[in-house]
Amino acid sequence: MTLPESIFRGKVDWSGENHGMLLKTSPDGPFTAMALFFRILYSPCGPGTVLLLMANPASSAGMPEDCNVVVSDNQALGKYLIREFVAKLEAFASVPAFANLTYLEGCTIPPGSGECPGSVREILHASEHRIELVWKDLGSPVALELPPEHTGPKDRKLYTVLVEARNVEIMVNGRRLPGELAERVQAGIKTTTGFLYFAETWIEPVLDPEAAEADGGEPV
Amino acid sequence: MQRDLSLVKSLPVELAGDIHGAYLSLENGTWTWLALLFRVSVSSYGSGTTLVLLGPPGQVPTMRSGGLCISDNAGLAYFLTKRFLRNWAPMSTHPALAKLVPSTGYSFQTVAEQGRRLEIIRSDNATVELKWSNVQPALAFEVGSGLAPTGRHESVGIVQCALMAEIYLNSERLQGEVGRHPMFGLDASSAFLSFSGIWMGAAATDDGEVTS
Repeated sequence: MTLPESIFRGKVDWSGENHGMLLKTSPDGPFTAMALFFRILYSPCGPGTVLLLMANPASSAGMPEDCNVVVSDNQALGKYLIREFVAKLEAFASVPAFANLTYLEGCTIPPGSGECPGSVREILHASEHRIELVWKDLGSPVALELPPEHTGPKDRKLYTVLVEARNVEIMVNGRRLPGELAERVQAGIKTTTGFLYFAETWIEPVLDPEAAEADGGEPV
Repeated sequence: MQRDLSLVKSLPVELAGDIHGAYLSLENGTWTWLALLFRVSVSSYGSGTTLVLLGPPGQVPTMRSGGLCISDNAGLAYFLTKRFLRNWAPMSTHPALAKLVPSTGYSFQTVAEQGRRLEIIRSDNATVELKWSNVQPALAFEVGSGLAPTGRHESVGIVQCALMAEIYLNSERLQGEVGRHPMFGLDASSAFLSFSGIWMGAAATDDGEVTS
């Protein structure tokens, strides 16, 4: 089967939502809390929910000393995203906490999670811990199409909808983590380190388009 | 600071989310039942889940008009049925589409397994189950308005065709089988799961006029 022009000759790596927040306690200092929340709809490991939270990025300790954790309802997916995606994001992979994350399985998402008017709230329970992320003061959605060289991993193409947040909270067992959002620039857009990425799809490029076509046009 | 126009899409995002479909037909190609399930993350009407089910008028007591709409967001349901689906074949020509009145859905349940997907939608007077099986690997698409089912959006996303699908209404399996239907330039199965769709275009009015 020859695929029409409207279909990419590339393999869909994963698709879903990818929301994050990076906080600082001083404008010129390092990030003091970092979170990435994934709601994955399609991946090699199936669907699932994964949260990476580094409550103390400067520490190489995991639980119980520091809440530097990966919480998920699909551990294979959690490990896949950390290994194949987050490890290629310089801001996350370069901090001491990333080398010694504690994996907590079997997270549950209680009622009340999700989108509310004007904000998004994600709540996860894992073990005896309750983690809550809130994005507020949301901007208008903007669709982005980024070639690999403009993405964090640099090895795949990205389609996504960015919604900026100007105010966020991270709560761990009822305690709010200190810090404020910082500024950042993406695709020439001056935005913040609080972000909601909806309808996000990562596509691995075809390494040998001729071979793929000869193989029937199937993604490789 | 200027937006990098090679990276930022120029059209506004009218809707982002998932659209799963199952169009059933007889052997002669006549459509029997058409189902679309929207799980919307971003729109001017907020987020929400909406089911549209269209079938032969008068065949089922719960949908004498031939149509059923269940949603947890009435504004979103109105937008989807009156505007978004206006040109969406084969639903757009169904006489029940314009008359749909959404009922409140109080339960939306998903069971996703390798190669299968089940969605259960419950309202006060109806339970609809949509089952897809033999689901194929995902393809990523990017289409202009000429190939977009709405006829007016640029759209990107992924789609998985399903070789089999079943629709149950109040535990009764509805008549029809999966056939073929053109989609995003593909000669595709008429049952599909589409995730992370981004639908970009100027907003349309109830009359179909596009506003700038």
